Amino acid sequence: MTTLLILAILIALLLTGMPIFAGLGLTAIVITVASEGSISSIADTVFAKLDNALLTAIPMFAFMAHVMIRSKVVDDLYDAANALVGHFKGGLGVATVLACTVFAAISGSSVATALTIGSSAIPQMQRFGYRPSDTYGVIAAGGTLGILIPPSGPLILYAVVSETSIGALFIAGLIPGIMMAMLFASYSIAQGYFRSELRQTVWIGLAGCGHAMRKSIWSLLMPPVVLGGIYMGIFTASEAAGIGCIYALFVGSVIYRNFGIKDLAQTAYDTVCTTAMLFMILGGAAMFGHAVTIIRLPIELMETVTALGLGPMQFILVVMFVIFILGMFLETIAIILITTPIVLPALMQFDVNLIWYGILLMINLELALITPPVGMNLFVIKGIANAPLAEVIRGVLPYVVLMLIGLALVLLFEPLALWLPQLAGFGV
Amino acid sequence: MKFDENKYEHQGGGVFETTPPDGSRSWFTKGVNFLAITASITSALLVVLTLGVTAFSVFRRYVLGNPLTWTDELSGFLVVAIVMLGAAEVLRRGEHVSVDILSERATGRKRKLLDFWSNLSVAIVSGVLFASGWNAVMFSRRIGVYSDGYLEAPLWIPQAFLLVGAGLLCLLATARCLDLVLLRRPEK
Repeated sequence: MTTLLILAILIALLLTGMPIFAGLGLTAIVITVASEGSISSIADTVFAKLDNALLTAIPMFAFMAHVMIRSKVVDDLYDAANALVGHFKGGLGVATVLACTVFAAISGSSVATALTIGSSAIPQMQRFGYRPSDTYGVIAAGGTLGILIPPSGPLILYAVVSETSIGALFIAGLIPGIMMAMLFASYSIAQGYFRSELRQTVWIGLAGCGHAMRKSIWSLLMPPVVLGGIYMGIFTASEAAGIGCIYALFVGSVIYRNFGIKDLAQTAYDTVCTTAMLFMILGGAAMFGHAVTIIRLPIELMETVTALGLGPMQFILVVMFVIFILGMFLETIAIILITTPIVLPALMQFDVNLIWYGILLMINLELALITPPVGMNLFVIKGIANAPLAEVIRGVLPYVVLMLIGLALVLLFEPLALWLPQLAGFGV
Repeated sequence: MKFDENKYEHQGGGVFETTPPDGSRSWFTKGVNFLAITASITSALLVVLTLGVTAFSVFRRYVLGNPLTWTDELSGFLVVAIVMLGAAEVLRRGEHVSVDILSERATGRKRKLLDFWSNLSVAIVSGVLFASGWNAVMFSRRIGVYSDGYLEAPLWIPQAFLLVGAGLLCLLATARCLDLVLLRRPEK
């Protein structure tokens, strides 16, 4: 009951439009003062959460993505995907999904993925007979892959909060990420077969494909360069991110020659804004997590779960349902940081694998990005296509169903998430 | 949700490209805005420093086979500094993530009231963080607390970034509250 009450107060505060970190902080301050009668622990809690070398991976990956986007290294990705598969039935949709998947592995950001690929894909798809809602749907959904396919900022934050291995989570996200991409691509192919008005591009031959691939080779090499070391257990996530930054700077300034000192300054500044925006929520969540621990909220939740006689699977189903509902109103980072400290003790009590749970959480958060009324990718598409929100929402509905299928598959078949990390020797 | 959908289209734009016009702000707010920008530029330099430290650490570990022992500890401190020095600038640009499905529909007095409430909440939270941070810094200085890694740095130094960042955030949010109450502005 207390859990629900606190969550209700928090959501009511957030709906007034205050920054999420302030809503979390305010709730936490009231709880802390009421129960401890002092604010002395608050700064220590925030400092302890932020003073973490693992977190440097997030600004580094953000820096890397900003460099790649600013120097236009990724601009040819969609053309390359189009050259490869655009001539098949439903191929333009598949090309969009493919470009989103690769871009997600470069940027780690769902919004940046939808934004960048959307700008090229929307006009192209509509020229070949796709309804506007079809194009909005595939890009909004394809963009969500950014948080599941590594490197992913939300995965790093979850790893920090749950004290699990970032490397193991990155590897665990790979198969479910590719599976989601395949589900989206299958839907596009089915559309191509059942809808005669959809046309495909002309096959440009092997030489044409080779040329398109060569143009985007520097983007295509980025994921193996950055993630290869993590997968082989050589680099930590922060080191891989540092290497990614050096690679991006090299490609942008030496190969493409359109990234100078001014761009470096602007990129560093953009990185500061992204980092401060994200980590202030982390700071607020640290206060909130500390406050709910003081009043024994996670323990109360565990006792409630025990009293209700829920088993591990039922508990996860309930949690997934609550997160799905929260996802309609809250931003993904906030959901991770609010819910994880509360459910973590219960998950551990049930001996639930935290890597597996992390992947389930990410798929659910992908849904949060495209479920109204608050879905970040919906607004991105609305922004770049100047489209009515209702049309964007109509377009994403089939993908919501596909994501629910994906979520159910990972829920039922744990090895989809855990087989690769186990193979890589992460001992999960 | 707030985000700048044109962010990636402003290729080569300046640092101040998304700054709202501040003709209707008080001198106090303009002064705090200047401090926020200065802090964010310092923070941007620290981002480049973090990148340099990470790259140097990778080079020492994998090329020279002689890993550095202090880089992780320094990186942790740098994260604190980057976040806290950038927080006020994010507020100045109106980019702190918020749920604005209700507030964006509000107009006139309701909008002003919500803006005031939003800034007030930031001022309270950052004010409390500042007060709590002050205690932590004073305690660390008085007792002589050092970090427990290889650097063995006086802990009050990285903790001081918490103080500076929270103080700046509190000042900016307070200035904005005062502007909303004291200055006449065209209603949105």
